[in-house]
Amino acid sequence: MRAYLTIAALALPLIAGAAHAQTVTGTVSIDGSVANRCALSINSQTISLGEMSLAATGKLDTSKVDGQNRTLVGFCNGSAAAMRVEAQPLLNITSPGAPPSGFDNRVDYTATANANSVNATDSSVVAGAGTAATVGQFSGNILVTLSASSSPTSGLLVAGTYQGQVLVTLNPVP
Amino acid sequence: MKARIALAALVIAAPAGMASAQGPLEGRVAVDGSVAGRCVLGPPSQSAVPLGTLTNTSGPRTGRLATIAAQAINFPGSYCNFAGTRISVSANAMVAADATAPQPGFARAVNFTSTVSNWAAANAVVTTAASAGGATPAAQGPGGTHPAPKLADLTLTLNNFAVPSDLLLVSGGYAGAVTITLGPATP
Amino acid sequence: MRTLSTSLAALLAIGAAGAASAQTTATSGPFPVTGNVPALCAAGTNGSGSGSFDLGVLVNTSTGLLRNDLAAPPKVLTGAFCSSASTITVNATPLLSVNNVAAAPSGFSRTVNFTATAAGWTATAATFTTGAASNPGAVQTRGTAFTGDITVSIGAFSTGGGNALRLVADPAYLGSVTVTLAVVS
Repeated sequence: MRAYLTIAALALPLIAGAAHAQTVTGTVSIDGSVANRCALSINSQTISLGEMSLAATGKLDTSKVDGQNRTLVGFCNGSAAAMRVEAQPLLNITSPGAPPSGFDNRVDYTATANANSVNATDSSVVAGAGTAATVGQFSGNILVTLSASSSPTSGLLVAGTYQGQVLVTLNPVP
Repeated sequence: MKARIALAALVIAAPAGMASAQGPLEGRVAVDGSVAGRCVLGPPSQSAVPLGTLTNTSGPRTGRLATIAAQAINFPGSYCNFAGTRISVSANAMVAADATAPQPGFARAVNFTSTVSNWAAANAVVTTAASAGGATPAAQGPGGTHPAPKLADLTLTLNNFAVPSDLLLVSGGYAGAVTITLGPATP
Repeated sequence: MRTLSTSLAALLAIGAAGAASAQTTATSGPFPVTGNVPALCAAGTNGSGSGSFDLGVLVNTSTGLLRNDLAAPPKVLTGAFCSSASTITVNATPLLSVNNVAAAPSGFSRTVNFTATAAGWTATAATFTTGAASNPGAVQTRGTAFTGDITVSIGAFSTGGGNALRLVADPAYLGSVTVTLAVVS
């Protein structure tokens, strides 16, 4: 972050011919500004869940998802800074079509971002981001945690590779 | 008289590598997972097929194969979580424990048909073709391929019990077997 | 206003593309299919008409002695079988005068002995001679399951007590032949 330095005009009043005192004081005013902004020094992480189904039942093993977490790092410098989360479901990219009766090919979950002791959450069940939370001035970790995983019919999971993502948005001036 | 003006230049060095914006800024946590391809046969409703006495003990068909009702084993909740799978059946005809070549007029084998239904459009069907002497008792074959993941209750049916040339059966215990397999159509 | 470009490498992980990892096959069985065939014999049916050997007149009407040309066609039992090793036993009772039950007076007899034979089941035919002290050949054994015709015949007639005795008169002399198939236990 840069600080801009403006140097105000330097005025030294001079009175011609007048007698001077031993010391004179001049004043230089310095003013600057800091814009509201946020930044991320670590803006990308990956959670690899591995095998998501239970061998005994073929259904989602929620223990593979719930509790998984990664940490982004950043800061916001304004008291009004807001944080918002969008959880996007894990979708089967190998077999993307509608699954047969008894099967699911999508895993939903809730994502929670925690920064400055403030939580912003979103469920992947409903498309779009969750409600923004005012995170204010902070600098440090943004802990992203997954929880409440499920599949639409609690059915068998179709084999394949699944991909999703959690988007964390910092907005300095909401 | 000089007035001294001291100006301190204020410079803040920005740390390297930081994404920064005055507008909204997005971070991303990618999540990936996988589900391995798997086929499972549900728990069989019985572990064996005991038919009891195979021959008539009175009447005009004394000593020949009696009428044996169809037998069924169910496999509830069977599934494959990937496409392109099929059922295969392997069967062995019932053959007498006594390995002696039977006398003319006698046989020591009972053939039957095994069918697994409710998986693919074409059922898996296998009929054993043992000779009267008990040779070539084994038979096997696949059913049709199902083009999607599937969850279903499967039924294995044994019927069409028959003795080669409907000969008399030598006495003693008889044993055959059936095995079913559910897996990828192209291994 | 210039923003510094990030020099961080984006950590975008892409999961393994394409096919799922090793696909498993499920096998159930072998399911034993079992049964049993009891050891039993069936006697078959007499394919030779009447169930009696009809000998007609037993004596030479001039001498009153047993004829020496008594004969009756054999009977054939068809469709007999045993599903396991078996024995064939032939048993016979002599021809006896039905109406003269007391011992015959001196010089006479009320008994006609004969030999019954059951052939075709075993290598050695089973034979039983009525009036003999013993009949060791009456039971014969077959070591395997078998089906075939059994020919039952009678012959070697003799007068009980000696061929010089005359037979008491009676229109009804009656004897029997029994053939038994039994599984070897």
